[in-house]
Amino acid sequence: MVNDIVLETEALSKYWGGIKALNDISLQFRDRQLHGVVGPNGAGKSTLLNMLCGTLKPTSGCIFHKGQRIDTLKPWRFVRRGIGRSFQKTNIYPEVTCLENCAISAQRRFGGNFNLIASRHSNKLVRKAAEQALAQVGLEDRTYTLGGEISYGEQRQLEIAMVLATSPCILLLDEPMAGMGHEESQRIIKLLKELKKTYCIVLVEHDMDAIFELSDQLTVLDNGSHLITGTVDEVRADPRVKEAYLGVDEEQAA
Amino acid sequence: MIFEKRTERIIVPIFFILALFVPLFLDANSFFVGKVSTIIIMSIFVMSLDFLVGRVGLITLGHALFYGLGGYLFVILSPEYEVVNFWVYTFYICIISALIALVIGVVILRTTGIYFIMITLAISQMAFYYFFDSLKYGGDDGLYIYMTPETSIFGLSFLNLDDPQHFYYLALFSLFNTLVFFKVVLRSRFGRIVEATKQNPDRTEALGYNIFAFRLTCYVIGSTLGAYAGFLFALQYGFVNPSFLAWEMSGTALVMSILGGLGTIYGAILGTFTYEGLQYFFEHLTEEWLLFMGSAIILMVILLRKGIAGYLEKLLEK
Amino acid sequence: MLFAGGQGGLLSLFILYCGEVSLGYFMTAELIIVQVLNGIQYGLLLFLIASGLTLVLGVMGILNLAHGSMYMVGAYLMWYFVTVTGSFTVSAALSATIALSLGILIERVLIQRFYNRNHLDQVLVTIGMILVFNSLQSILFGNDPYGVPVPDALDGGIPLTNNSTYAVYRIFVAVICVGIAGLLYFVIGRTRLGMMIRAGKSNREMVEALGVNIKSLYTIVFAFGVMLAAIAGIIASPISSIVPGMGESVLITCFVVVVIGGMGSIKGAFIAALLVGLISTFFSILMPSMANMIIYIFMILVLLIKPQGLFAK
Repeated sequence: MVNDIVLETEALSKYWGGIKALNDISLQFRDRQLHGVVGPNGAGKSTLLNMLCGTLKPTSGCIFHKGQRIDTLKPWRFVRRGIGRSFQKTNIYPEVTCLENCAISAQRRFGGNFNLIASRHSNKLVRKAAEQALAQVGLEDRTYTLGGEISYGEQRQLEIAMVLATSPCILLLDEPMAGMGHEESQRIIKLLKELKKTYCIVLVEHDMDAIFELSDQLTVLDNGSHLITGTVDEVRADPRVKEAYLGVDEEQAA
Repeated sequence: MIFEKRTERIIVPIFFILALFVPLFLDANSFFVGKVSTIIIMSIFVMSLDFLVGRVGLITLGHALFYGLGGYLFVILSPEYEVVNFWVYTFYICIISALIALVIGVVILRTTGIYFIMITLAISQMAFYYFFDSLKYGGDDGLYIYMTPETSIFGLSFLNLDDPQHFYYLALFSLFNTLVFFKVVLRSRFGRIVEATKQNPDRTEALGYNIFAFRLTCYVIGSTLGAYAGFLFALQYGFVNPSFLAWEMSGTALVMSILGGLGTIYGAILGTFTYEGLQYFFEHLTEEWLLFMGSAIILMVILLRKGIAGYLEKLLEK
Repeated sequence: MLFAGGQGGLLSLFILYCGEVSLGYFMTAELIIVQVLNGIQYGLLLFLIASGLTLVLGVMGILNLAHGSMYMVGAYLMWYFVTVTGSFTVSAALSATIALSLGILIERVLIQRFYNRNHLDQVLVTIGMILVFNSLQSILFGNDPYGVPVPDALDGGIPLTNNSTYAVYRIFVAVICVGIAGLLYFVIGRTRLGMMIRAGKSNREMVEALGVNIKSLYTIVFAFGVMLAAIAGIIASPISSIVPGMGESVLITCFVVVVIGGMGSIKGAFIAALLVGLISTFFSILMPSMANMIIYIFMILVLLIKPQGLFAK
């Protein structure tokens, strides 16, 4: 049984003056699947992600969420629809605790955001959601540590926790394992395997091993154009991909 | 706990207890009680600015606009000789100031950073010139207030605003309420998002919050309280003039807020009293006290980065 | 109704038209020409000052509130030296040199420390500088209004029509402003220094890697930026009143120019300055009671239509 398409782009393009960051991209992302997006530097992966979460508006083409057109909406409407995004450059709240980081993320769903009087600590549901998110990524023992004081790898985990706290249905992850050591990466890979059972995940990563291990579908972008989309095996076998990655492969081997 | 820091829990009670006794130890009609009342009112103004600048991250050089608005609105709205109710007019002035802040905020909060600083200054200058050039509102001389409002609630009146001592306690009471109000708001769910917006606006927006709406609400709150301060000041001395709206008023308030410790809210009290104290000291020392004040400000920004509250917190927080 | 590019121009024409019609006041052709010339000259002066401000802002990211004070410094120094030496040229040269030196001194001693600090600290320290400048002005020169006589060589008028002339000196001011604007355009657009200036803000590391001494670059830019304001004060001294507070009022008008013109756009600042100059001048004749306020209303109207300014990057 094929999973439902929850996110879809149709002839999506982004031009910056004469530069084609993305050119005529049509992709389908399905529920409960991990869809990897790879490509050499400058391929347009970040641009794609930025458009899927609404921060960047397309020059032409459309984005559909569950059949409804969303590319013209403001970014916060994307979030309300359940499209959550983690950042490539760690973007947490360094001056508050990890719990508070997740609480800020979670509070929106529970309402009362314009409540000027009730204490932020009084909403048990928010706290519970935050604690759950931290537990999902394995950061329970850092609950009361300040965001700025945890290690880099833990901050990347916190990034993911924050997205989870918003109770999304689609996760757009921008190089979550960037700069991580092997052990930390393994932890994230394990986490993503769990998460893809529930969420639709779009994963941009440079870590090829992780991508091959996790992706149900894999898209290769090159210079803003869509090269190929298919299963991991299909993509690995494609000669065009090997050509695009000739240089990168040797780096990976080293 | 709305007062989270130990320093606050020490300093705030000390201040208010001392302040309670000031009029009792001084001759009620003395100049001094009136002067302290004025500083207290100024503290309310500075505190509202501290909230906007230090907690919400809106650096406004146009806060004086609302200070003047508070005073002018009262004179404009109230009949010249008929005695009105203080509480009712407080309500009117706050509502109208809030509406004006809402309209202004919608226009200018689409900008940020330096642009925002410039626009707030320009708008308050515009208001300054409006009142300065207007014949209807007294122009350069401003307008006088010929009556003192009465303070009855359901027929029960216990404050006579003509009495400096009573007025002092009203001002002090207002200051206390303003402090508590800001502390409660900052601890609230709303406050959580405001804090997040200041710390990391991109992230907060990415989480789905409409930060424009949050900033606008804060702008309205801060501006309304600034207007209330202006209203009190106008009542105290019985007049209002364009100097209420001068950019120097905004600039001085900003200096006081930073001197006290930006973002601490209670620091506004420390900063205002210290600044006024310094000015009183220098004024009596030399005619060129402005030179010393200016130099003192420069030194302060370079050296005392977190203001007086910051310094105290370094001492008292473990 | 209002279309791209000419939005600002149309808007201001509209305002001027309203001003005229509402007063049922019809101006003679002569009067109009004189006011247009005055407006342009005032606008060019504003541009000179505003360009110094945006230069410093654009390259170093510093909002120098004391920029207006340098305009005041130029004017007061001019008055002082003209009174002492009697020579316009000598005084102008002296004043400009002192202003440049002052700029270098201030940058080295004070401004340098604030490149990495936030806007608020910069605002504050420059407010402190305003107070210091104002009190120095009061101590050194007193608070009476002063004037500087128009130099003989530039006195007199150019005939416009049968019975009116236009002051030569005002044309001189306009020419100087255009000249400096052209010089700026050339230096920033066509020279190596200009390239470094343009690169300095956004690519500080890269510029340093190219072997450029960023510290010196910043000093030069700041010193010249404030000198531009001082020069404006110098050349404007015969046609404006030298009074306390002149710095701040011109500063705020500059802010309006920058806001209307759009952040980061020199072209925008130029056009906005001319518009502001024209509107301000016309309204001081048509509706003096609104003359002060009208440019702020103009600014708000622009913001409502285009929040980033007319020519924002």
